[in-house]
Amino acid sequence: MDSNDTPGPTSPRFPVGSVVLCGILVGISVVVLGIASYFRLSPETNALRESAMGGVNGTWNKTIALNIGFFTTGLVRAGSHLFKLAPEPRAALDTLQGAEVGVYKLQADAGWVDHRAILARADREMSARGWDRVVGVSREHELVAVYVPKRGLSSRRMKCCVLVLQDRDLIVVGASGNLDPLLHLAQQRLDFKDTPLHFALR
Amino acid sequence: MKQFLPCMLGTAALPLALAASAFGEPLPPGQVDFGSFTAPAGGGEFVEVNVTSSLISLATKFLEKDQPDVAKVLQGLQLVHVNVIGLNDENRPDIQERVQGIRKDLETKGWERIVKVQDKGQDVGVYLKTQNKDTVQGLVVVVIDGGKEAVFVNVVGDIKPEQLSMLGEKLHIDPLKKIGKEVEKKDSNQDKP
Repeated sequence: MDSNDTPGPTSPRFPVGSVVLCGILVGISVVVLGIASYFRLSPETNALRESAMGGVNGTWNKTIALNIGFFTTGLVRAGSHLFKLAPEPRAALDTLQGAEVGVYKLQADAGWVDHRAILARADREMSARGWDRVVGVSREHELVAVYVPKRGLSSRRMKCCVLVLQDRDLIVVGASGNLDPLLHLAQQRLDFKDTPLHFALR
Repeated sequence: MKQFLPCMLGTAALPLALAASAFGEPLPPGQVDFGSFTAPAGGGEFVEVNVTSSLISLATKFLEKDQPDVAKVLQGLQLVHVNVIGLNDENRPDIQERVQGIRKDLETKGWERIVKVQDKGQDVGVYLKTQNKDTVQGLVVVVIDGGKEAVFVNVVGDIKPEQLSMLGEKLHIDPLKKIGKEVEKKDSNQDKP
């Protein structure tokens, strides 16, 4: 048999350079998407915002829209354990698993705002997403609505969305977390035997 | 054939299940549907609070260590619903009519009126839904306050009359204290020969 007939080493299916380039592109995409996600609100908070904005004539300017998700809060929680913290900030960090806030300002005076329509629209949008309103307060120039998920709510899995509309200012907030550390701290710190609890007093 | 029969049964059961769900689940005995309220036009007051059992259980967890008796009562609650509607010339007739309608409906459905006060512009009605003599299944308070606002409260749950008074005492809820005492007075009058 002629040695010239033996096959030479086969070339790799994917060149190493292409793999590295793809990896870099994927990494950049992930970083870009990750950074962009800090400035995008969740669908529920977005729905609340759109419900309010849709009920007011005028142009809204965004002051800030910030979203800190589970990954970031997890990193912060993990990093915080390297330091010694007081119980209150420790409990707060251990509780928070995600937070988002959007602040918007109406360019011109809105005049009279139909709070009924805003609440109705927000209720519809949030109900379609599996959320119920637990609090709704409307006064002359103020509207506050608080929503929580219909199902799956517990002290370990607490989520809420809040809408506040006051004059020309709109604030939407979303938060999720595990309330157990805060409840534990509160039980240790508060003595209900001495603390009067006043409800429904006029 | 073996597969055909279960498939047929499943197909037949599906519309029945859909039809059943279309009628909706019946409300628990102590729950009252006041209907939907909307914020009054012109910026009048509107407050709606709807605390379900999941949120009540959070509050229970918060209190169980230091106020176990209150926590135990809260455990029995399923729902707390409150509506406060500011009255104006536009909605006053409609709300007053709804109040009368709700009161008649409650009495028709076996709710017992334990408090009725019409004094100094206040029109207060308190109703209880009881099971046997031992357990209150629901509590409804309907108030028209001086023609300025209407208040609707529904507390749903397995609570005993003596717990109403205790809950009012511990949490300093004056209206609940009064209601609990009225209920106890009513029960003690009934027990007398």
